[in-house]
Amino acid sequence: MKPIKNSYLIEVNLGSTLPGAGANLTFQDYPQLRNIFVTGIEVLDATTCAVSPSGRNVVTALSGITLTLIDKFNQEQLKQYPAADLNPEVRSGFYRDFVPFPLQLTKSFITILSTSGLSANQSVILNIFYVTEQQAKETTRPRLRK
Amino acid sequence: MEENYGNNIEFVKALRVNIQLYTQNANNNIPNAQYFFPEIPELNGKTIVGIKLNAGTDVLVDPVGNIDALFDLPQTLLTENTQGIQQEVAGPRGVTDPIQFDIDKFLFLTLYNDKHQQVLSNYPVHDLASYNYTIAGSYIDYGIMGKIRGFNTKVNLKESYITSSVILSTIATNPLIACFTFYYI
Repeated sequence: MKPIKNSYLIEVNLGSTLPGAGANLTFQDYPQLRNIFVTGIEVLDATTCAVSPSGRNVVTALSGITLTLIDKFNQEQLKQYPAADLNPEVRSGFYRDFVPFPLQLTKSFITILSTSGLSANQSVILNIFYVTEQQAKETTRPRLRK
Repeated sequence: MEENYGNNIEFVKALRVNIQLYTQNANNNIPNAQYFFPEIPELNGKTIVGIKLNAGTDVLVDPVGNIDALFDLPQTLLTENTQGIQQEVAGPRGVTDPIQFDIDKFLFLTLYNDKHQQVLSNYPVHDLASYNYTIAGSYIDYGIMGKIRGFNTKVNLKESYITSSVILSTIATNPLIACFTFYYI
């Protein structure tokens, strides 16, 4: 695991009506996450984070959720990546490092493959590790994806 | 530090920082209250390479005999009559045990650097807990399981704070302290 330069916690709420299997839920715009390079991601369940900062209950199961991340060139850098694999609580405390890429958060999304264990109004929590463009220019590492 | 992979964190010094959360004062118990860190001049201008949550518990509310062995910060090192971040104990417990909350699962750390930039925004505190123990012959892990989360940033503690996603008086019975260890170079 590489050291964390910056982190930002983002949240996707499942809504008052639970989405059906196959639904894609896009992320809202977080101004702080524009023009950043993603270096790693955690997806957390209620074992680590019981209630989100906005007061919503966090999902207890991640096994039916996948994550798709789009870069600023509209390329899928992660496609249907299992969210449970990004939970450090069940991965011996590790989080996944990426070769940094420029994230386009508003086109990225999670997919609900199975609603088993999910309830309406619950939230999926993602902890995004990143470096800013300026930080990326100031160092030869981390290596940037071209 | 960028070249260091794995679980090893190199640091020169480590400093424990206590932050008072719930105080039993009604005025302090509002949703999304910000509990600010004290200013620690020792950390000014230093590069933080790791942060760890040290959890303690009030043994009086937990009848499990080996509770002192669970955490790396005994109650005696906390302020008298206060309660550290209390952890749920897995496995059999006494039925009289009144509290079974992982309070750190409701806490978030926001950290600013020396340029007044927010470097960690709502970082889940439980993800900084790195302790484990055995109970009833079973090995139990919490948080990041013996690892220390590695960071690489300068820190401005007096602008940094902890928030809770619930009103702390609903889950804490005694005054509450969160104790962190900052590893720095």
